[in-house]
Amino acid sequence: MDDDLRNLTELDRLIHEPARLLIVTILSTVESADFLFLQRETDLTKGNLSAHLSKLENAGYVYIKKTFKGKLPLTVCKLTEAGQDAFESYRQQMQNFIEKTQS
Amino acid sequence: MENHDVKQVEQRVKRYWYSDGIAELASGGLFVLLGLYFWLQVIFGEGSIISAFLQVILLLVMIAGFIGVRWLVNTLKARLTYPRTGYIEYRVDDREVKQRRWIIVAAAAVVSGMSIVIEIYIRDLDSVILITGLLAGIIFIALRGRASGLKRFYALGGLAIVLGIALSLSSLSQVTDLALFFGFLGIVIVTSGAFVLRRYLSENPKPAGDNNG
Repeated sequence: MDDDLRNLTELDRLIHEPARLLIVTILSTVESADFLFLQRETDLTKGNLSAHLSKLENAGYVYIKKTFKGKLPLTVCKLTEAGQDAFESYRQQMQNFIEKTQS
Repeated sequence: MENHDVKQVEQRVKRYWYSDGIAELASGGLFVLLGLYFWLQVIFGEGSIISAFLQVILLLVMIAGFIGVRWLVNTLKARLTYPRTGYIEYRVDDREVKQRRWIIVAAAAVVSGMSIVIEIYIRDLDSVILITGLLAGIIFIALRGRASGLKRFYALGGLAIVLGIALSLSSLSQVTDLALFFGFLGIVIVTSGAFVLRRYLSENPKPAGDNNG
């Protein structure tokens, strides 16, 4: 079996999960985004989004800063360098897999 | 995830900047301001002290206009957009900035060259308004339209090009051409921005209380 195909079993499962993949993809295109923007773009519930963000934060992929804007809480999320690297590596693995299966 | 999916997400994020019409309202307002500036020159006539003064302060008007637009956009977005649909800070992509600069330089060179050639064959052609129209059109189409994928920018670009060509062939003075070009295009951009803002506000009512984590 080809190495690229075998590498599929080594995919980063933390990113591979569809909701987290969408969160990481969005964050990879911006400097930072707040909770509300991510919630609207992903269509996840507050609880779900919080849970996924916590997992990404625990893995060191996302940096979360909780502040206040006036009296309202503001949660700003940013992809860390480790998160960016993990996402790039994931993309590369998936691309190689797709190319191999198409040819 | 395939590359084109990531590109789609990127484009959606870029499109978000234009989703509320605020950027258009402000930039259209700047165009209207420029139109008024040139119109004042038409009113006071060439050679008058006021006209000479207006020519001197053009750079100041432009700089103040850009600063004003930036302030207005940030203030309105902070009040209207971010509480409704969220805040994002855009990444400054050096490669994209360089690409954008090259597009503007290349477009300016091509348009200038073209207008010189056309001017040789067509007498009484106002090359300044032709260059302005073509450049504004290319910027709308190649930069805003391509980056965001929004069709209205292609339409605005097309309008700028048509307007530039039509005015360059008219027998009006150069300053009148510029006043009409910026004034008319500015009003169209403001109107487009106002419609987009109205739709955005009706589709996204302000959420009550904490909605941000």
